Amino acid sequence: MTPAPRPYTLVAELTYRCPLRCVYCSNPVRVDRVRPELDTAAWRKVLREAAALGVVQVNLSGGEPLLREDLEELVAEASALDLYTNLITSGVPLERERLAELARRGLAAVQVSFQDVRADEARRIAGVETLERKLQAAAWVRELDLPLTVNVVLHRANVERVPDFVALAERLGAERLELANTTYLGWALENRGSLVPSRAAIEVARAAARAAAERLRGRMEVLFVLPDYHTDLPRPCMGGWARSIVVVAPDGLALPCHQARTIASLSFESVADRPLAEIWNDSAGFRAFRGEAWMQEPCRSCERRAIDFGGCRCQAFHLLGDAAATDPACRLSPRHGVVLAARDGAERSAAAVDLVYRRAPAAT
Amino acid sequence: MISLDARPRLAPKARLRKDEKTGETLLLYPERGLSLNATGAEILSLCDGERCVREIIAALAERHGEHASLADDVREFLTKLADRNLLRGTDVP
Repeated sequence: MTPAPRPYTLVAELTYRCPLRCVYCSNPVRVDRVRPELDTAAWRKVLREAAALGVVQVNLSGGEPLLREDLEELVAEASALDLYTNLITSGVPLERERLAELARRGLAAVQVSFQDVRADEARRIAGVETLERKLQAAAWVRELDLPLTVNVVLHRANVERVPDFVALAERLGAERLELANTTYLGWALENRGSLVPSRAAIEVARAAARAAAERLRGRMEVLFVLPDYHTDLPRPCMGGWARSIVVVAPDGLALPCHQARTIASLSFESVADRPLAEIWNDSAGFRAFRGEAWMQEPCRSCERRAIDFGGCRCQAFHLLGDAAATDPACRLSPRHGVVLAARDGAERSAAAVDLVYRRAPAAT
Repeated sequence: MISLDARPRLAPKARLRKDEKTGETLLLYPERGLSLNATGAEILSLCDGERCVREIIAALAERHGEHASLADDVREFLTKLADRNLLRGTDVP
């Protein structure tokens, strides 16, 4: 059995509730059973247990974490534990006074997501009006002297506007711009046919991001995450399964990644039933793909296995039905054709199909 | 490379803390972190916005003795941090 490493980051998904309905949301489409959200005391316990386990950063995310009325208390608890506390938000429900209070309680940094620089396109992707409020939220972050990350999920309809996203992030005074190509899981998999960009468009976007990163070095970090559908190489999902990041879902399920609970062949445990350290170290779900013993060929003997860890287990499960298979994004996967077909199919059908908007996860 | 006349200090977003698991110093910033060895932690402890890089190098040489690559090592380390936007006071030509 591979000994458990120590996690550095806790992703605390405080809620699956969200005023936005983004068509690429990474929350699960379905869950095995809809259970109530953890209460304040339970979340405080999670933070304490995570800190004891070695966690030094916490990302308060969701859903929309601002919908939790106890967010201030949780930020204070995390801060008292000396955790670097990041708020990952749409910005939409933010009020200036509330942000000031969160900063007073020790919030270290804020990430605001943007769907687009065009209000109409942003509305089409999020299902609701968002742009004005986001711009206001981001401005407050800077006014209160908190570091700002601008996050943009890239897809077919906005990938050509990378230069506009760079200009937006500069104008807002962001420390960091994350240009993250969509990963096709959750709602993004439902909408894949409308979202996958062309290879040519990605190359243009990548060049623009690279030029911006060069020009802005030392002022703003520009991160461009290549889409695994187009690299023919798998992404090192979560930095490896149960290796450095632990996710706790709104209902208390402890997970190696946001989507892991959708892998039907695995079972996971709740922080309400068992200490986080025990779950991290010993539970079957976390052990399943930790280390390399689980790997099949071609991963098992691949020289990249310590770089990409065999890719994304959720993608292997959702596209191939086998969570232990080589990620089909990899050119070495015998089933790589599955990804090629989706990619080329999307490239041929330029017209967008009807979009499926995100809802709160339904019970299977 | 960072100028010898720059007077670097940590950017407000960066926080230093001890790693209770390893005893090392961690440099944390939004959604990221670096584990510093003893030398890196010592260099950063000298980055107070008052001392210039030349003085930081001299202070280290005095404490630990001169060695051929000391100046380059310190400047390389600080340049890496500056490229990640983790330092202030570095925009000296």
